Amino acid sequence: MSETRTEAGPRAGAPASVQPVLEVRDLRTHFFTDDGVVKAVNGVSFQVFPGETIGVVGESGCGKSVTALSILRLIPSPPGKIVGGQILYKGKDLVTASEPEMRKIRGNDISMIFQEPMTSLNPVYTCGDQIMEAIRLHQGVSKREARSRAIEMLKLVGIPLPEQRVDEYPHQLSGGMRQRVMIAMALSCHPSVLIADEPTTALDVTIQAQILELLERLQAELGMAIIMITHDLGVVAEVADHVAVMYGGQIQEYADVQTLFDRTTHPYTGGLLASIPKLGESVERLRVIPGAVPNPVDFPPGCTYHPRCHLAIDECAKVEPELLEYDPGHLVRCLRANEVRSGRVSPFPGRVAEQSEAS
Amino acid sequence: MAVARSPWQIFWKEFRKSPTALLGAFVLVVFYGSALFADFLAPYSMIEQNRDLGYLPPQRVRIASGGPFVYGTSLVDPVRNRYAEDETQRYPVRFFVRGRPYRILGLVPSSVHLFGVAAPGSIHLVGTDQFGRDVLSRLLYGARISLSIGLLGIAISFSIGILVGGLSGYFGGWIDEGTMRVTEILLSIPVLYLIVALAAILPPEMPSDRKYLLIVVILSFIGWATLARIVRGLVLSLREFEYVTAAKALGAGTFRVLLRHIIPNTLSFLIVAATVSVPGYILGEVFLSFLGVGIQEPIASWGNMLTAAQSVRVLMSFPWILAPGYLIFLTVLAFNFLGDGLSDALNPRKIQGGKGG
Repeated sequence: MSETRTEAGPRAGAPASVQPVLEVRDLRTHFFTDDGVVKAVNGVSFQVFPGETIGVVGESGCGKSVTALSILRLIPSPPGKIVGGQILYKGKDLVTASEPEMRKIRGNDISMIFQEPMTSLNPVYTCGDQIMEAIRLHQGVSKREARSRAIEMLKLVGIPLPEQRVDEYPHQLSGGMRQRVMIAMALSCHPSVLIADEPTTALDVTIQAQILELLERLQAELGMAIIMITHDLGVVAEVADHVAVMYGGQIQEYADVQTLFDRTTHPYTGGLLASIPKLGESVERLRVIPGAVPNPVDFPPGCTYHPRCHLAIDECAKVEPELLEYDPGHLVRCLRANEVRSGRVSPFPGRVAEQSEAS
Repeated sequence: MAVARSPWQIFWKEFRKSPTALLGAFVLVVFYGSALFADFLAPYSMIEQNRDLGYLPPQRVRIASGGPFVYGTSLVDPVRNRYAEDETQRYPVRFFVRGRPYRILGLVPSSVHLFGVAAPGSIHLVGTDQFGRDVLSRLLYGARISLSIGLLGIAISFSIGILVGGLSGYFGGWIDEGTMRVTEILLSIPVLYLIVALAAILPPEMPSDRKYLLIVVILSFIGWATLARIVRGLVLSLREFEYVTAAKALGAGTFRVLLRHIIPNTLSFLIVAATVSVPGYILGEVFLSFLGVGIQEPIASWGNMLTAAQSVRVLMSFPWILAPGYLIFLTVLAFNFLGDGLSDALNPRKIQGGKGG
């Protein structure tokens, strides 16, 4: 392992006075299975500042959800274990916190919403019950008080007739409504960090836009930081301030959203961007990154992405690249990053090195 | 959208559709109600003997202008136990008569009984047994033991089974390994031999209430193993649901997650399992009492009342002695009808599926 620079943490350009609300430092979460050790998260670092949204992007199995669950210490153990690193929430290390301390933080300081609104609400309780549970767990208020706060939350997330919906069961709501209820639950204690694990993946496109809008509005109103986990670069472009592109349990490229799209450097980011179908463009087949995410028990030597990379050279199979800062706040883990940046090669597969400006 | 309906309302709507389940529920309500108010309903106590009226057949109630009455009876053939009605003696059936004192539900003192006849007459609607004890009264008092044994039994075995199975499935690892091996050992115990052995060991002078408890405990300590294994399987799959992770992400602790979020989702299964396993305990008591390990005379239970019906002579000549057998049959059948109806009505697809309706 040689991710030495990751210690420094991205976001060097941030104003010195603002402290990150959450800082993940060199997080390593491994799963000890019969087939071997799965290094699901292998040295991930990033910072989350109050009121900002950080997008974590990657294919399935790249470790983004495990990162999220690690922050809340919800990794199923056994077989999972956080084997290294720190997760600093307002300066407190969550990796070493006791379980009762974690319970106080979960839902109260750091909350999470999930991908599948159909299964993330308990079918045997009403929406109100489930929102009230969080409020009562953390705020020690009376049942009546909790109920009126639940109704308030439902109103806040834009559910019509909240006084009536509060007594309805999840099966009586549509997918979009359920996701709103999930958001109401997660935000009921006004957490400072919200982890959204693919919150819009299971929803249809119009509802997706509504939910993203809702999250942005709530972020503006409540001022929490959001960690948006997604495989959808469109979502990232819409809501994120900073983006971490993950592959093989590591951050491959980290930048603010503008830089990531304008000055894409890592060939994996390039591959992801190239696979987005363009409006009005007619193609025989959608572009894909060839190959599949490697077996996490047995990552290829060197760069984990090299077997699928269009820029791979012999050295990529031997040397494990480090996450290096090329511009303030722009970190890339690629041996050929300098070549890409100087325009000699393109990060986008299937495109010859034409050039953007070199820096 | 249609009116909001709770899972309970959906359940009731489905349950009402099944006539057999309703019938089963009705029979059970009547049986358990009768057991509860046995003191009031039974004309005699369970130990009152009338040595002159052994094996009296069920008496006929006749209707006259003055209301219902029974004739007196006299033994005409002591060898074959033949009785004849003495039409000169009429004993009118009186309702709400004063008799032996008791407490309603164990609380309120009373001495009112539903019906009775004035001495020296007697009324035995289901006949008497060999000691001249009223079979109807014994059935009513016996129902208390025989019917409650099932409820107490599942209460114990389900508590253990849900707790052990729940923890085992939720935590996995060595807890799971350990408890599953224990259940395997329990499941391989030959229950029949265990009980026969116990019958040999237990002091015969052991009081009946202690024996009653012991039977329940034995039966449920063997009975929880199967349930624990099933609950474990359910919890294993339920704990992977996102709402479980969601509850944890909201800060719920282990026991809260297990008891509030996982176990309630197994309820539809547990209710059905409980319903269909009650008969097992009822039959278990019958079986133990029949073997002589169970409730001892003179305390009545349906099981030990059946012990008297062992010989062909008794069965042929005094068929009413078999009455507890019919009641056991009806109870078991009712529980199975009810269980069948419940499993249809509690089908999670019906509870969770479909919006509004």
